[in-house]
Amino acid sequence: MDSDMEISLDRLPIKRLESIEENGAERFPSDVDYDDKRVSLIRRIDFAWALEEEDELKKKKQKKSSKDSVEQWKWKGMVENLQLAHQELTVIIDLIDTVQANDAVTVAGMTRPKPMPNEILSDLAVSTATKLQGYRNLGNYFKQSAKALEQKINREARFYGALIRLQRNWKVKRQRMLASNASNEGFTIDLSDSSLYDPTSGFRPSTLSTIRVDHDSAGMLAINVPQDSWYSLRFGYVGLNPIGNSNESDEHIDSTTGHDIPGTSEKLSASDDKYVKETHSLLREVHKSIFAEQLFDMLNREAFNEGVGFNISGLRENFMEMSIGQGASLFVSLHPSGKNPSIKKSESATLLIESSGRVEPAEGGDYRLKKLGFPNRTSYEIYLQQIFHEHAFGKAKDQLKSKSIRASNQTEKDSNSGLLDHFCLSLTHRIFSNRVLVHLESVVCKVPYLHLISHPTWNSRTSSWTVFMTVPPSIIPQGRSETQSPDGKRNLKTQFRTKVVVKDDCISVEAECTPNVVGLLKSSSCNLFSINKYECDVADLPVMILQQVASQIVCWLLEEARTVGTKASREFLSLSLEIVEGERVSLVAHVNPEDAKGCISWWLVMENGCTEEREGVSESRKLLGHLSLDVLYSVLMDLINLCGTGRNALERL
Amino acid sequence: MSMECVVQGIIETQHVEALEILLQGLCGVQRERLRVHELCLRSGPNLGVVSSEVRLLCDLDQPEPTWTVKHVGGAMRGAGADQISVLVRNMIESKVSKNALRMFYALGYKLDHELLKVGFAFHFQRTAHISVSVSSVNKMPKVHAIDEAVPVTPGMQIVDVTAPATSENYSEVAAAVSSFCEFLAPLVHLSKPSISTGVVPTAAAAAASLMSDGGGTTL
Repeated sequence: MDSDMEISLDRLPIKRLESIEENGAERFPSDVDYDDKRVSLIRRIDFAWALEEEDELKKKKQKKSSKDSVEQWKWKGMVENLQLAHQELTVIIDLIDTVQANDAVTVAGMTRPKPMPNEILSDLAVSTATKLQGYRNLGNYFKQSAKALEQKINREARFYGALIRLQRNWKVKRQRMLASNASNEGFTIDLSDSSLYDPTSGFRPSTLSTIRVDHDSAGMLAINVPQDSWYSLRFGYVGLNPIGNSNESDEHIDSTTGHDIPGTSEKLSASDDKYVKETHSLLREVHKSIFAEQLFDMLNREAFNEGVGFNISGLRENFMEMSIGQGASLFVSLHPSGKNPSIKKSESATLLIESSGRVEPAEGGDYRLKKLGFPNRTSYEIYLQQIFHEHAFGKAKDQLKSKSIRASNQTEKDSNSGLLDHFCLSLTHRIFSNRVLVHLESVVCKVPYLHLISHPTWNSRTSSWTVFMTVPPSIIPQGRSETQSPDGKRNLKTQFRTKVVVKDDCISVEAECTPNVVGLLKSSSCNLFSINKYECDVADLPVMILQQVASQIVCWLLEEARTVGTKASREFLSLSLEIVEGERVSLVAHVNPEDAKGCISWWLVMENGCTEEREGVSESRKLLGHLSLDVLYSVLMDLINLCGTGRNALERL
Repeated sequence: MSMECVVQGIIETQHVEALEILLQGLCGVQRERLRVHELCLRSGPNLGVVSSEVRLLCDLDQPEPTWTVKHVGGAMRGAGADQISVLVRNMIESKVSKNALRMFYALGYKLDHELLKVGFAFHFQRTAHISVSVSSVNKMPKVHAIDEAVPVTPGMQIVDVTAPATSENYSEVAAAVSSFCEFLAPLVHLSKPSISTGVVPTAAAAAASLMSDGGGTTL
């Protein structure tokens, strides 16, 4: 206890690195304050007690000597010892507390050994080697992450490259809300036409109008379309066209690109270019499907409006059937055209069988279509889409123009409602005009001097033709003609026209030299330039046309007869010449559209004032047959010659 | 000055029927037959400062051929014209009597070449009066021998889309023509007559789709 107390505490010789700077310089904690700290610690240790102890020991010795002299208190020494022990204990506890509080109390002075040069080198070598190792690890780590990053960037480049290419043709939108999903950046392709979704226009946005763009497993752009949710529009004639898709091989052929719709396999191997094209055609299919849905939707709404051109006879989900004029019935249906249409198709087919009960095989359909005058189905499917397209987008354009001066909803509805009606009327008109044309052609084919010309009308519900006849030139030289009208205009026509105009299902015939009310009366002249206009129906058309033509021929002959100075008169389709007083001979036209040889035949009829003298009717009538205009003209000239020679000559006929 | 907007294209004869179906659907009007004898006349050296060219068109589909004289002026030039995808040019046209050819000969015009165009045409109203004609062009081995005409390009027909215009409205007419042409794009590519674009590679597929009765939609 009384020995010297030695306490030597030092820091562990670990030098902790405080930081490494970016350039690699290592920074250690500064050891400037080490000595200061040590000094301050030393100052805290109180050695006063040791001095006191020595003093007391001296005193004790003095006291002992005095004790010897004065034996005062027996226990005094023990008390002192106990006090000393307590003192000592207090110091030790103090020290222990101090040590506990400061683990770095150094009492003994220590000089740090100065490292040898070789030691510095080896230390340096070790730390360099460690550092090198660290750098290597770091390098590997960077390499790995660079590779991963590059992969990621490549994937992104493919994705965004494809997206940008699609953006050229499609409206790409980004929604942040959807971007939470890992496989989705929140991109969507908007296939709707905002101009069509004006609340007043009443178009419902299709479920397909927004298509989500995802990454597929390879990171490539993938669009998410339910495969069986596309529709295509079908249009056809009930009983003549199969409702279902008759030609399954054409199912997936896009008419513009001819590409097959991409399958799920081979996507990886397909080049990006091809893949984008496939996506493109897929989007196009969907776009077309939306269009078909819109069109059908609109037709459905129009079906409830009043229309003069159609009569709805069947209405189901995705199917409507209507009868239009001319005995034709149409169907328009939305037909599933996705990957898995077979089930739905059979459903719709059975639907039709139930609804109409008269689906006939398609064979011979073409022939029957032609016979009935029905135009090409595909053409009219296109026409239906065309007028809708024009209407929808044309109207959208108009709306933009007149947004400020918005017309009332009423006018919009008016323009809306006529579409199906217009389509049905156009189709009815085409069927009707085809039948009219068949009649006209049959007439023109049988009468050799007639020609048929068709005229452009620029209108889908109007057709126009002209039946044209050129008569042979007069043998009378023009200069000596008596029929020069005062204004110098020659009064002889060489061409006669009968114009047939069909509007919707009304035929109007406009003809020169027509047997009008005046003409029906016995008259000695007819106005070559008069034009008469009237309407007729298709059954009467051939007869009407033939009567027109015959009347024109009679007119011509009459004028020719008058040119040479013969007294002649006409009565409807007959031309009468007076041969001698009271005796007349007539050329009478007889029209018969069923006559395969020439439709217009001519009779020579003789009549005199005392018909009763004649023996029989048969002798007074003689069939001349189907005469060409040249022959007819020479017959006329012969008759005119007879006028001079008198009755006897006539009897020789 | 009256103008016209023109675009042209070619189509293989095997796809003409499909084109007819498509046109019938797009136009909605009845098809017209086309048979035109076209005589191109060039002025001789003593007529005017620069040589001029007129075309005499003889419509043979009429029972009595009707004649039209047509002068096609230069195409509109400049940046504005380049932006339009159709050719806009001056054009004067007039009906003439059948003596026209003799008259032009007497004036000193010479026959440069003659053609016979046989095909069909659609005339319809869409913003402008648009005429689409599809015809095979025939040349004649002897002068005016239209009965002996042989095709210039066998297996290939020419598609012309024309619309009359004026200097006020030609941009609208041109827009109408080019938007109509887009509908024909799957079958035939139409461009300014000076730029030849060849046949469309998708024509066969598009034609097959149009011809098959169960076929799809085309718009």
